[in-house]
Amino acid sequence: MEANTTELRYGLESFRKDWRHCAIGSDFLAGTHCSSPQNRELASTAINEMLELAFKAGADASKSWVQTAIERSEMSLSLDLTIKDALIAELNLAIVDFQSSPDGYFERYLGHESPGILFGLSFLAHDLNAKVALTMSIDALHLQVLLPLLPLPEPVWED
Amino acid sequence: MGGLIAIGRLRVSSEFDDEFYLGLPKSLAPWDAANHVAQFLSAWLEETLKQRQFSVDSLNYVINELMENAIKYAADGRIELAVCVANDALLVSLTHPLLESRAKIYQALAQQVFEADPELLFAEIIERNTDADAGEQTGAGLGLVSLRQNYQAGLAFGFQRQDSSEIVQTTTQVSLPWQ
Repeated sequence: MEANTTELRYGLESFRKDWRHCAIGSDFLAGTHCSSPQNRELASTAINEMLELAFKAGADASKSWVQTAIERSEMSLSLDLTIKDALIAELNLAIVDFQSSPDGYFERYLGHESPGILFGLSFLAHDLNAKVALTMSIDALHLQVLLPLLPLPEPVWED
Repeated sequence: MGGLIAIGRLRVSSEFDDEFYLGLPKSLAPWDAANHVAQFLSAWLEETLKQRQFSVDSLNYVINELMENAIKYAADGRIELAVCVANDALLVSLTHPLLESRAKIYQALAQQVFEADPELLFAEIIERNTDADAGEQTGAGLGLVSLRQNYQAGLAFGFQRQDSSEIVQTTTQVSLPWQ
């Protein structure tokens, strides 16, 4: 693990028990890198979208797991998420559609009754100006999001 | 120090099997890292163990106390925190490596906290703190004894010397009675 990275890995079975686990995980990850409430909220929203995708894309909750890593540079957060044992075949078309234009994906599906599995990600690109990249391997989906933060002074705590 | 040395009864019991790996940035201060872990796990367990009656604030305090000590004093290696459900209590166990010299100090402290009347020991440590010069370290054990005194928690400790090394795997177990 990199010295300045927060990592969280857990099985998707937990989500089946309670959806709120998603928010608890994203609040934790956001809190370790953002002290200002506004940036913490922003980061938590982005991570929550990624974890929700993990829930939807996990093939078998008893086997699938999700690993997230978050690292902060001065004005942005780099978010990496791996969904092991993901529904790659089912996601293939959506990913091609998304990668052709994340912003366009958002416009196309806005207001749809079933807006598509990647709509949350396109929201990050469209509304939060995040750069989103998706890659696939045989049984895993990798997600990378570079999220710009608000230019707010972060409180500095004395040890 | 050789074999397993136990102070109190270390218990194992479980009815759920969520498992996490958490890695935290080194830039976080120990108290901040402990606080993040405590808040995350107590919120998670509040959701997972909805059918049980327990104080989330107490659980948060216990995890925070154990994690803070582990982050400050542990030798290089993994810190493992396990939460188990027993009939009468929620068991929180934290295991981490300690250098042998530090493990001996902790073992003596654990023995004292385990055997003493918590009310008397709590008052004694506070008194020592009040009398001490500024900056002097006199509060050792206050966190552990406050778990007994203020949270009615049970304590148990285990010390296991690793083969041919100066490392002692140290376990601190806190049992929080159901309400």
